[in-house]
Amino acid sequence: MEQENILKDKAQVGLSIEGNDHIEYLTKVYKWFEDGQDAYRTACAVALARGFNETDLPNVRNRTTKYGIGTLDPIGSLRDLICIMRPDLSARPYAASEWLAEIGLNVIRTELDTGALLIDILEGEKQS
Amino acid sequence: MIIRSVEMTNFMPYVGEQKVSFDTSKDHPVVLIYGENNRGKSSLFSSIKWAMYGEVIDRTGRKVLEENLLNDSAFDDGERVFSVTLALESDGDSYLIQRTAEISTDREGKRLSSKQKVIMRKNSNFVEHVEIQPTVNQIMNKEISIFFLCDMEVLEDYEKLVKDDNLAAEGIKSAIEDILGVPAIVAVREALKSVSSEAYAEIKKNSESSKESTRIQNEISLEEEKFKKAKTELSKAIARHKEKEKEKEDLDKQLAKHEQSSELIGIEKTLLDQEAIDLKEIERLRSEIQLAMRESWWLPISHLVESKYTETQNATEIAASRNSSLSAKNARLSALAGSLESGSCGECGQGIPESKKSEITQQIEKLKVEITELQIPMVPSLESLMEESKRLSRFRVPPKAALIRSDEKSIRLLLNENMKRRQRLNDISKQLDGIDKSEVQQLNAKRHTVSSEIGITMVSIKTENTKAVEAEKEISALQSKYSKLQSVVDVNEVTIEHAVASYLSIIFEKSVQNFRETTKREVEKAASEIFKQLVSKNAFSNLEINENYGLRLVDDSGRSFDHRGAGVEQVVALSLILALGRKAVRSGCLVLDTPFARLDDVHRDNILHYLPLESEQVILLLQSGEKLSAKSADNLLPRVSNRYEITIGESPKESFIRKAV
Repeated sequence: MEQENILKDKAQVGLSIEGNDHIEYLTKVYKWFEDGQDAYRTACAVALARGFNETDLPNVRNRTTKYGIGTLDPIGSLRDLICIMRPDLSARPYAASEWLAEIGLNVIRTELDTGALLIDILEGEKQS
Repeated sequence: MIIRSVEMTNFMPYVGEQKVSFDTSKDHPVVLIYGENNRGKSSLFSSIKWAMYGEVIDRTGRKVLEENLLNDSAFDDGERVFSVTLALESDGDSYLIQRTAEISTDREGKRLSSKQKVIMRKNSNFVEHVEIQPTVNQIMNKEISIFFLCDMEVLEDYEKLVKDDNLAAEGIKSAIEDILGVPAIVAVREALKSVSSEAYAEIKKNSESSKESTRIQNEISLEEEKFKKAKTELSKAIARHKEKEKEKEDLDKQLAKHEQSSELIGIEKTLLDQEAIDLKEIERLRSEIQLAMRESWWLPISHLVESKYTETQNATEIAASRNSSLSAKNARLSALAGSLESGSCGECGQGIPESKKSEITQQIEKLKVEITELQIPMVPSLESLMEESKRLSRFRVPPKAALIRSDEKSIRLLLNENMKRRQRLNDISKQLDGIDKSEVQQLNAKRHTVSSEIGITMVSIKTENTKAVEAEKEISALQSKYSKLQSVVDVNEVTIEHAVASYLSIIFEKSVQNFRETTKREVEKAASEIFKQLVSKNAFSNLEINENYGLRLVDDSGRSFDHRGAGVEQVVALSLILALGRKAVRSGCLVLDTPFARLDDVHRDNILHYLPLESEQVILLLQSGEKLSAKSADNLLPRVSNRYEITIGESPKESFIRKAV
């Protein structure tokens, strides 16, 4: 049943203009990530850690295809983490990763811009 | 040499202690010792020779085994030691020689070997052991002793001895020359030869020194060249150094005009260099963080993963326990049902009473209820829990949070530093606005180059100076060697010494020959005179001595007499002995063993008349039967100091010597 659902999940994931902008900033300006995919996965982990839901997604525009699943998550770690930590999202974990990444990227960028240390952002909890 | 006494202990036929004193004087030089044949006359004679030279030679010329010199009676009584003590005078000094021998025996008690010991005193002082024999030979050489400690029986063959071309003949010739003092003049000749050869060696050495001097002079020239070259190079280096110092001074003056801007340029360069270093470090730290982010991107959720893992593990344990309990209950149910059906216990085989059967039935019912409850499927299942645990394990690798934090803080610090530095650089840039930075930079670069060149010239100065000092030291050492060689010996002086010594050596060579001939002629003349005194008839006019000191009787017309009787031989030998005594550099005693054995009364009277006149001390060992004629007694007895008699003891092995009445 689960396998059947996963098959219906996304084979490619996309980001909004804002999400792409954040990726650009984190890799080219802050240079904390060598590659945008590293930032995408980390952003998902931040969002999972802070317990965000899809409803927390800010207004984003024009989501366009960004990464193929084969390169983004070659051994399924991202999928497994989403499925285990959020069983409610286990039906389409990659589809969920899109909004998780958008929220996570926004959190990281916003907090970095306020002068926080990256490590504090990564180890912090959902802002009330 | 004058013999003062002989003291024998168990020596040859003399048993116990026997002492013979020879208190001779100028007016009483004669000692007479009488004894029968084989009673000990020759043994007394041998005791003197043994004390002096440590050996006894029999009349056949063979050495007597020392262990046989111990008196037989004494040996039979257990004595093993014998000795002879000889008191002498020579050249105004008194000597005491004490020679002792101890014999050893084999298991059967037969004489085996002997061990000799000798001590000597000169004027009451002990002579060192190594000096004893040389001192004895100085008093009377062993070779000479055949003439003065004389066994006339042996000297009968004198002619034969000197004729033979052997070592003995050579020894006698040498002994005669020794008596006559030839060795002294030979020694002078040898000394001159030695001086001459030493001088020659010195001349040769000087010649070698001259070669060495030339070599050293060449070395000095080479070292002087080195010194000169080093000095030239040193001067050049000093000149270059001064030139560069001047150049540096000029540059410093020019730079002084741009002092402030020069300083700012220097600071700017330092700041830019530091900035570059920091940016490189920031880049490195960023790369480290980027790698850490890739390897532990789940870091934000790692603490939740850990809780989830623990939760899953607990659920897995509960599920596993439930499964195990279900299996156990099924097994129990099956066992109880089996027992009830068979009517006996499945475990022990005993029959089940009717009263128990209803109880078992109740237990079966209860188990069935429990099993039904446990069979309700668990959500999630044990398998899915185990799968979840496996997946979570992948995220339990400790993320690199500490590294990221440390690197990020370092980057932040470096960026802050850079910001401040950048601010400072902007300020400097404003201050340097309008100044030709390239000119100042060129001046600084040039100054740097000149400073390096000054360093090089300093090294050159040091090197060339060291070379010059070393060359100077070497020159000094070589000059010292040269001076020493020059001051060895005055060449002319040595050359003269060599020439004089060589010349004198030749003269002495001739002198030795002349001296030999002269002394030989003198001995010949004296021997002839003495011979004429001793013979009964004037049948022969002269004795001639040949080059080997052989004796020939010739008449007035020069004819020789080759066939001579035994008596004449003794007289000829005695003539030679007395002639040698007359011409000897040292006169002394004359000990004659059985001198008259083959002489008629006339010859004996002549000799007894003549002997006391020719020698300082005459000890005659005579046969008891030898009666003195009235003429001899008249001539000799007034000159006798002591008379001794050798007598036989109770055993034929024992002899005693005592003063004759």
